[in-house]
Amino acid sequence: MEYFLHILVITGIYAILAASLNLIVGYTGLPSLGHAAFSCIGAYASALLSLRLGVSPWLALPLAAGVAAGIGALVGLPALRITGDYLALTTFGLGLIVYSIALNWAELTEGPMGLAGIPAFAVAGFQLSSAGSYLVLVAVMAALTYVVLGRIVDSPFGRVLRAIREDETATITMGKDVARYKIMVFIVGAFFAGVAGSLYAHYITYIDPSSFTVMESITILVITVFGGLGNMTGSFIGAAVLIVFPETLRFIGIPSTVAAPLRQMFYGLLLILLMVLRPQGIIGNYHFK
Amino acid sequence: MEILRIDNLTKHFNGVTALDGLSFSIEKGTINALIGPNGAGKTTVFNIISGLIKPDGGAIHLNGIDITSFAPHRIARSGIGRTFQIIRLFSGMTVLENILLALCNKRHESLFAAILPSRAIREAEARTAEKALELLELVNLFAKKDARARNLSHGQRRLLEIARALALDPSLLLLDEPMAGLFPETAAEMRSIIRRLCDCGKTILFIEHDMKTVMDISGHIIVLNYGRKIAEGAPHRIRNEPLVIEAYLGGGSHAAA
Repeated sequence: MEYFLHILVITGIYAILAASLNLIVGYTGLPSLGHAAFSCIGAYASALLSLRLGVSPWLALPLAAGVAAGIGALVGLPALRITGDYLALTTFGLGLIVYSIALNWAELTEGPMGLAGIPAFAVAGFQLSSAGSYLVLVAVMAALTYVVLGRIVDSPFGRVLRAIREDETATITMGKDVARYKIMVFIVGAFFAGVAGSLYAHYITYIDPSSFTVMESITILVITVFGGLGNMTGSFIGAAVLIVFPETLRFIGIPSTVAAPLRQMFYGLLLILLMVLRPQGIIGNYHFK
Repeated sequence: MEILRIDNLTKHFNGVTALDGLSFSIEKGTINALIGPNGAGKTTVFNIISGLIKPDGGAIHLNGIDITSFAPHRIARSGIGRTFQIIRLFSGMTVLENILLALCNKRHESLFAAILPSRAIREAEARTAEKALELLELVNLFAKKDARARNLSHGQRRLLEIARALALDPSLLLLDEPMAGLFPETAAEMRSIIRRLCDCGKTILFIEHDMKTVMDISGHIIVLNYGRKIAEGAPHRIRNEPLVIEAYLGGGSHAAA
């Protein structure tokens, strides 16, 4: 049971990641292959704030998300000049840079040793360290993310984002400051990825760079595409299916040495099938051209 | 009164001179045609006026203000609306959404208003929707308001693109080949819409190859060839201008004769 609840916690964190990436990729049409970098920044910032400065996780979470958002703004800047495949490569590069910093700036991050003993969230002296109690927190945060991002995409602001996705030049000639919107989208997307990173750090209580590799960014993208680009509900469904389903492999008696590579193959196969059979994802409104 | 003035506009693309010291001006409330053979630089003029590309030299004044260095979205807000030769709609969005997008202002489209919409914003949205429907009425697309833009016919797409440009409430409207590919009935409707817009005080500059339309509705014609202005004036003058005939029919003294 504890294990199942743990899987649900992880699912919630991935749902937040996938939904925030959906804002960037699905709604605004900006390809991004570096989303794990933002959750990495959120996780490390939150962990360091609470470990080194004794900041309560409740405060560390929004602060860390803010740091991730700031980095998001920096990434948004090249997005103003670079489009399409080139932007995908640029964000891919960002993922590599952030990973390398986490790995090599040992004075700050402890390098490959990682940060251990990250304080857990506590409510009135009660530590949210069990999967069950943490699930409540993650569920609330995921719901909040769903509501806020849902409002954003359904608003006039979101309409401009979809217009940028459809035809950037036409959007500019409609008097929209497209550059500003692109930066805002990266800021908001990075903010929620930072939230997810912080939630992860205070749950596992240990982080190291291996959790934030470029492969991780790909996993988030697969969830987003699988669930459906341009559909927030899709991102949540995508996370539920892609995180929960591979875990069932464990219960049908496959040894873990086989299960792990099998999972990677499962993701790969799924992506291929998806692109061939249903490029817009399960309930998506848009697909890559 | 002069609404647009273009001075000595020059643009090179990889060594090819697209515009070579082009100057002309447009009077407020008139219909003006920009014509010339393929590759004369007509669309380049539109792209430079709307700020999508920057000229190598020269200046553009709108109502006496130098807009040459303005970012394109700012030019749009300053009162220049445009359409494209190859129609650029938000094809996955509905007809109504296409118009709403153009009607909404910066304040309604802020991130803050998205997360915490105030009542004032919601009311303004409702008023905007009413205005959008009026515009759709003008181009006879009211019945199609909930259709996706990609599902419209070619003629309807042209009309929607014009309605969307009008939603900016521009003082100057640039139309790039509005008649291209239209059936005769739709073309007639387009001509009447352009005339009506002019009657409402809009200034129009349009690129067109259909000479009947050009001669029929424009009061002033500017003829380009190889990035230079070769003639300018009222339709009856342009019709008989030897340089224009030569540019369209090819050189040689027998052609002009």
